[in-house]
Amino acid sequence: MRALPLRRILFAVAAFAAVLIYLTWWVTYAGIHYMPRYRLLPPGVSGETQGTSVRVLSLTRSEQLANVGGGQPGLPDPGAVWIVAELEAVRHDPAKEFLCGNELIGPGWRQWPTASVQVQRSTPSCPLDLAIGEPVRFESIFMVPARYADQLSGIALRDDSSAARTAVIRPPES
Amino acid sequence: MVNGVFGNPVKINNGEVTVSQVKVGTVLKQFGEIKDRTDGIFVAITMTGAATGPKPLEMAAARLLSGDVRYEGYQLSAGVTAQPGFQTTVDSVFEVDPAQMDDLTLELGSNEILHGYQQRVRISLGLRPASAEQWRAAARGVLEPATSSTRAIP
Repeated sequence: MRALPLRRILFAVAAFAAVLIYLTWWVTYAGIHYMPRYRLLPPGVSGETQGTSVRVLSLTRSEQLANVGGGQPGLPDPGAVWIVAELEAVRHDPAKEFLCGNELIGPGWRQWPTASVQVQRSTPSCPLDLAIGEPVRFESIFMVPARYADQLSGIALRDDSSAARTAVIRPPES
Repeated sequence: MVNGVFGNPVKINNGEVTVSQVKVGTVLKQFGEIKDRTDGIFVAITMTGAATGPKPLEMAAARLLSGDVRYEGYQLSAGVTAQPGFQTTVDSVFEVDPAQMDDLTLELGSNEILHGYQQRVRISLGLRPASAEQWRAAARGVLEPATSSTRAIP
């Protein structure tokens, strides 16, 4: 029987190791970028995202949304309530732009995206082109099942381009 | 692949899906206007998706199967999605050939680049076998799918 040449064995081992390294890298990358990981900040503390500091001024539960346009107030779907987050953003990095990727976090890390509402509001929903160093107030509106409305954790500042843990900001304690 | 039964909730990843009604027609009416007519049959399937777990239910891809024949949704988004704690009911419309609709089965899954990673569900609609002419006769008329509705899971 002829023995396998050492070079051929080493080549096979190297190829296997390269595939293993690639798979490990990909699983790690996917885990970091596609599976949300959170960092819960103390109440009232600002979170950093996309070169901007964001803090929650208040988190309010409501059965209807006021319509400053004079029409009917906005009603949630049956069994749900509105959660209105009043936020303040301060942009400090001109190379990055804040894109308002906010999500409401509930029990068991449930996530709800911002709701599209049919009413006219007095506060803007997402300020674009923030001036550097100038605080801007805006609001994010969410719709959640009423039974979860008293179990909310805070607002997640989602940024899929970053591998860092997503900051979850909370309103100051009253 | 999960196999379900018409009228009963089927548990899948992140929630459950129920198919509750099948309606047919040859003229499609939406938002009060005649939108389309067909030489075949429009089939509207009423389905409810409930996100019972902590993650959203994403079964946006729907198709009808009859043997080797696959019918894609008449509209771009044929399936059903729901945020955590909510359930959404939609009428999903398909255009089918009455000569090829034996054992019509709804297949639901998520939109994905690589098929096979996410769970899919198949629910037989339980329609009685009939000839193409019988189907055409039964479907003659206007089909008006209901608009989608969402509510918190009771």
